[in-house]
Amino acid sequence: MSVMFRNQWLRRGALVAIAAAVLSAALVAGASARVAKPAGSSQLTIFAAASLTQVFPKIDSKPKYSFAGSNTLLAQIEQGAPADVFASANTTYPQQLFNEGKCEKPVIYAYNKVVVIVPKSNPAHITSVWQLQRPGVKVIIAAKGVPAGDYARTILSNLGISKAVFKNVVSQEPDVKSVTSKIALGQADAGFVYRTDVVPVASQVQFFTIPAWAQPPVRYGMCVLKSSQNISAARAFQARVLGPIGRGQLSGALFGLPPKKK
Amino acid sequence: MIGKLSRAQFLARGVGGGVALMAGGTLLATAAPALAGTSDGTGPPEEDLAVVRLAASAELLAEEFYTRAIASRKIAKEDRGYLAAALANERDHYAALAKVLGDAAPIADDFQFVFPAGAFGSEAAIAKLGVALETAFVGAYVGAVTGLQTLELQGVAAQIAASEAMHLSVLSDIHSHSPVGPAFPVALTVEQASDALTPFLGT
Repeated sequence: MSVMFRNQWLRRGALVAIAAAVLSAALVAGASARVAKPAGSSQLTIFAAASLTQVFPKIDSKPKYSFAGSNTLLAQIEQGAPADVFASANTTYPQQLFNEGKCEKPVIYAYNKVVVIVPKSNPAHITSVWQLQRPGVKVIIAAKGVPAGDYARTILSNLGISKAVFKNVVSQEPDVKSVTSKIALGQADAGFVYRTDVVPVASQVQFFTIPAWAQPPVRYGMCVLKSSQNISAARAFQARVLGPIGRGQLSGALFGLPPKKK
Repeated sequence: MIGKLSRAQFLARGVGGGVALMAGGTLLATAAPALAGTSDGTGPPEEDLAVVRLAASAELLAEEFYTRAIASRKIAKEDRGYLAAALANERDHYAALAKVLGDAAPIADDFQFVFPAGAFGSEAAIAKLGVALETAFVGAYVGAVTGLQTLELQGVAAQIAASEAMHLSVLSDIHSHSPVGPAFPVALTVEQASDALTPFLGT
């Protein structure tokens, strides 16, 4: 065998070997994409209520978060959007998923209160929730189905002022953060948000509490999704929220806390 | 001759109305299920249910007050029976109002009741607080009589107003030996009653 021929042969062999390696790697990668990833091998995806936007990353900065109205997140999960944990601003939606066999048993991880916020300048001179009935007052509320919107509707019903206040509603928002932003920007006279939503915009708004007898219980529920590719990591995230780190951050952000698990 | 009535004598005269009170209890028991509404959504309007909800919350506050007052053992022995009777009344009031609201009725755990510091430290302090609370309760129910739209609920409000007025009389006598109050107690709107009671119901 001549040197030239041997070199050509070796080169051809090398090319074949390289091609085989590339093909083999592609096959392995393709196979990996179709099987479950080992636990903890990829980033968690947390679907969380908009009111948790500031606090959840402080509890755990590593997951990928999707913050939105809880009803929007529920719809996405029902349509197959991949998520590992669903943290809602109510207990109804996690319970629904549990009843459908789509998530593990929900847990309550936080409480909240609904308040009325007004722009800092308070152009409509609102001093209590009762004054939202005044003709001409512009009110913003979250849409029906968004937990903050449902809680606000319950409050108005409990106070017996739904009809009068709904005449003043100028906008129904897809999530509570939108209500907060619009009031902070002075785009309406008053809105219903959570007590915890006031903190990031404290310099731009004033807030008024709702009488305790009209407040519905505001309980946040969370569950690990059975479709999660990282069930053990998802459960670890849930445990972190329920543990001292999570409780400390939630409490610092003015969320109420359920009794400690013994 | 007009003599000074002792508290026991004054209240003994009220006992003569006990038959009417029992009849009122029956009225509450029969009216409440009907008032709770039917499956087609009829029932008291939202505004009336708001009044009932505030009233039920007020009764829970009253229960808490009387329970603590009795437990303090600061009230004179001869008067403790009156407070116990008032506590029993408040429980009956709450039960009837809660029936109207059904599953939506408030419960004691919904509140973190707040009382002024030292409110149960002496008989005088308890009586002073009691007078303030019962004055608000009477005002709320008197206001509810005309504020409510549902006839049956108006009747219930009037009955409870009369009951609360008796409690006010006892506490006023303990506080200042003045069991008889104004000729026309101030009627409160639901907003005014809410403002008066909110400091005690927590946030």
